[in-house]
Amino acid sequence: MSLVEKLLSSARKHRSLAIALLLGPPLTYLTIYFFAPFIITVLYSVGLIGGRGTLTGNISIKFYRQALRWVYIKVFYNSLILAALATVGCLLLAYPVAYFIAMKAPKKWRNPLVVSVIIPYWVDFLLRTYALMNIFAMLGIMFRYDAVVIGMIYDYLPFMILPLYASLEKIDRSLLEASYTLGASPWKTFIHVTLSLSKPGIAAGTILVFVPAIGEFIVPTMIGGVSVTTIGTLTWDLFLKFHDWWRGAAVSVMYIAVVLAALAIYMRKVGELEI
Amino acid sequence: MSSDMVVLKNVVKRFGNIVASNGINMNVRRNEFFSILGPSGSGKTTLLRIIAGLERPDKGRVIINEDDVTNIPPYKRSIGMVFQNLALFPHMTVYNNIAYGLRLRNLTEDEIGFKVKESLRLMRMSPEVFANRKPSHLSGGQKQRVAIARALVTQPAVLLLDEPLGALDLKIRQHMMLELKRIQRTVGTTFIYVTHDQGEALVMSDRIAIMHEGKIEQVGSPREVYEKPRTKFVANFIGEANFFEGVMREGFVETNFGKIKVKEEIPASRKVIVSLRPERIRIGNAAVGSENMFKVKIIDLIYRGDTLIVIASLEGIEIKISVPAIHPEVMRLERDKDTWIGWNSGDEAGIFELED
Amino acid sequence: MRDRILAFFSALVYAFLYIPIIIVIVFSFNSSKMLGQFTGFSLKWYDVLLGDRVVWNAFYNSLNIALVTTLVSLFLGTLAAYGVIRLDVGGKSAVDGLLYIPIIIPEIAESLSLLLFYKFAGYQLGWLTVLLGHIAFDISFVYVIIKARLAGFNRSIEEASLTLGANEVQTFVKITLPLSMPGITAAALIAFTLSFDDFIKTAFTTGPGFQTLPLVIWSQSARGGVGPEINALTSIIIAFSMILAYIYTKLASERS
Repeated sequence: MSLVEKLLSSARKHRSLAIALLLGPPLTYLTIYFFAPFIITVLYSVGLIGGRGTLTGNISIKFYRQALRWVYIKVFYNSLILAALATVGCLLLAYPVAYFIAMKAPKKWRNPLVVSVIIPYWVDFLLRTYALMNIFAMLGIMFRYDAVVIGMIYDYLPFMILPLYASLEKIDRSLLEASYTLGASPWKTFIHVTLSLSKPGIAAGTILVFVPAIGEFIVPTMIGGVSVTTIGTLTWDLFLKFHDWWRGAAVSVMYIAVVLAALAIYMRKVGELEI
Repeated sequence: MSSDMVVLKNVVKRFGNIVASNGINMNVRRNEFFSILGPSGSGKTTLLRIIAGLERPDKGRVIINEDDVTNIPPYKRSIGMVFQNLALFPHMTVYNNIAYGLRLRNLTEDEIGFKVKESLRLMRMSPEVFANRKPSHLSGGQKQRVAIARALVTQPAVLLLDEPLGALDLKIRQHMMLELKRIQRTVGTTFIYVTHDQGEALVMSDRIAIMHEGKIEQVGSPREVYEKPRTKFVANFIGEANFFEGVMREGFVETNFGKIKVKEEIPASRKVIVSLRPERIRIGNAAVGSENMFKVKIIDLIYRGDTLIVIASLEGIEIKISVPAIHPEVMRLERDKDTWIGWNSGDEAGIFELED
Repeated sequence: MRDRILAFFSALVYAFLYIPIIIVIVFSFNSSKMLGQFTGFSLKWYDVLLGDRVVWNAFYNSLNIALVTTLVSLFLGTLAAYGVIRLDVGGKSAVDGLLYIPIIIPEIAESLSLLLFYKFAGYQLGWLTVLLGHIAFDISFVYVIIKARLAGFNRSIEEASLTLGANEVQTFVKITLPLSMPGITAAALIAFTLSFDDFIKTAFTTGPGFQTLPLVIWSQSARGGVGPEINALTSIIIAFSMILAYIYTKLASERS
């Protein structure tokens, strides 16, 4: 028996060995370089880790108390509003486009049209934002809030178009025809059949845009300048400018809590999520 | 050499709370066309997968060609399998699909080419036309043939077929049944065929095992299981049957509509069910003089081309009678009219004791 | 009529998506340094690019990180996808949930955690720390895409291979892998792009002396202007990826 054969025959007998062989490496990797860092962050945020990475042995909530000051809460609030505006903007622009590609465009155009949505995103995010900055400068709307919103819509649009397209494309055309034969107008058919069947796509797109948008850093910094502060810019400043790791860690833990809460509320409302 | 090609000894397989195989003992003989027949969920596919080695039994032994293969993986068993969805490799041509198993056995390309062509011809497919097609460019019946060719070309001891005709149209299915039988006779390989379709099992099989809730209810030739079903389930599942409940007495069964004379020997005073095939019941004048005669009311007449199905009511019990459409009595049958039905003792398909 | 409006609206959205890109490309051929004033056609920024050590070095670093990230995360993500799909383990959905978390957690929160972790564990910041962070992020994306692909074809195709005499490893190589190829290609493209373009995690986890392309662009734009040679480099990258995309869609349409 070759080594492979031996391994396979013992893997068949011992399910757990097969599981360990397959899931062990990826899960170990994520445990070390993804989950452990979050535990470290929590330890920092409660002051268990001190200045030189030493354990202090005291738990304190003072960094959370500082992070709960009004200025910070306002930043959280602003971030959520900005993310919500960007999400709604993306949805309003993306739905007609996704609908057009999936339902109206000639079949052979569909794939090229979808690929065309992605191509601009092969250009570096920063560079695209930089190009946008220059357009806004020409239009004279730099450093304005609406410019930041437009910039964020621009940067997240494909993440809305693609899942919407995927769910619209799956809709069986005979359902629409059935709706017509049952006496529903095109508009009623759209509302009752198309729109409700594309809900999984709306849900996926909303999450793909909203969650990263809350922590957006690049667009508010480059287009908004100092006028717009978000959780992203706050964390960046606390960490890379002021090296205030403890307060930064506390803000970050709260940030994750907000994201998870938003997700939980959203999923309860929308139900099943497909990404 | 033993006459048995596949032997299952006390095979048990559970999936959570479901017992898919509840102590199965089964012998499949060499060169026979053996069917496992049962409704969905009866455990027939699990049994086939255990023979293939795709499932490990919790208990029991699997023996193929006198070797205990219970702990041997599928790729070392001498089996071929045709899957319900056929499972042709979509990224390979017909030729490469069939050659797949041969390549793994390290044959030369010349031998492989020869065998692939030969097996396509056995399936009555022209190698010139089909060898280089992808499965997506084949019709349902053609895919079927390729799947069978692929499974047979390595000359396995047993060919396992998991409801392979399910997806086909009625006409092609009927044709493929005869084809399968022909192929089996030509190659002489032992076939184990899983199906829920009694028609398929009756037409093709040398013997049939009827499965129900993880157990084998009966094994026998098509004629045996049809004419002498050993359980009520078998009587009901194979063909159609009328059932009359009653209590066993000396030589007859007492029902709430009268006495039924029977041949079977069952201890008196047991609760029993008499089963009777629709075609065994005579109707109208033809019924006169039968040992068992009852007056019924005709509820409905269903014309089926070759036969006429009469639905009649006997004291509120619905009875199905099947009459050849050319029978002289047919003209006289009318809905809502009374008529006579009758049969002799011994015509019943079986009498089954009821468990209280 | 309604369809016309829809088509027109879609065209506008496409224009919105493309205008900044076109500007980048057009101004890579501009003779002056000003973005916004086209003073004449010139290839001089392509020339400048050729001699710009900083940009080339950063480009090389980005490529290097992205390639290694893609390979490692493809390997680990495929293992995870195969494990979750093919083993009916208890707790399968828990493992699935764990593998989704990196997609859901905002990048900036993840990045600062990594930085704290590196500080705490005494890592020397640089190439390795950037790479490890990129892989951690990409595994989940690879996992999701390949899992979807594996779920798309029937288990019985692999079982057919087993009954024809191929063992599990042979089956994986001859059947599973070729059938997952579209998924693997897509996953590789996404993993590469995510890593190549990543700015935030790189900014948090890099050390002195190790710069990727996004970091160079950031520091230039913070200083008031991105050099037109970067426009030139981007135009080259766009051209290159368009060709790749073309070849890919050609191959994909031929295969199906």
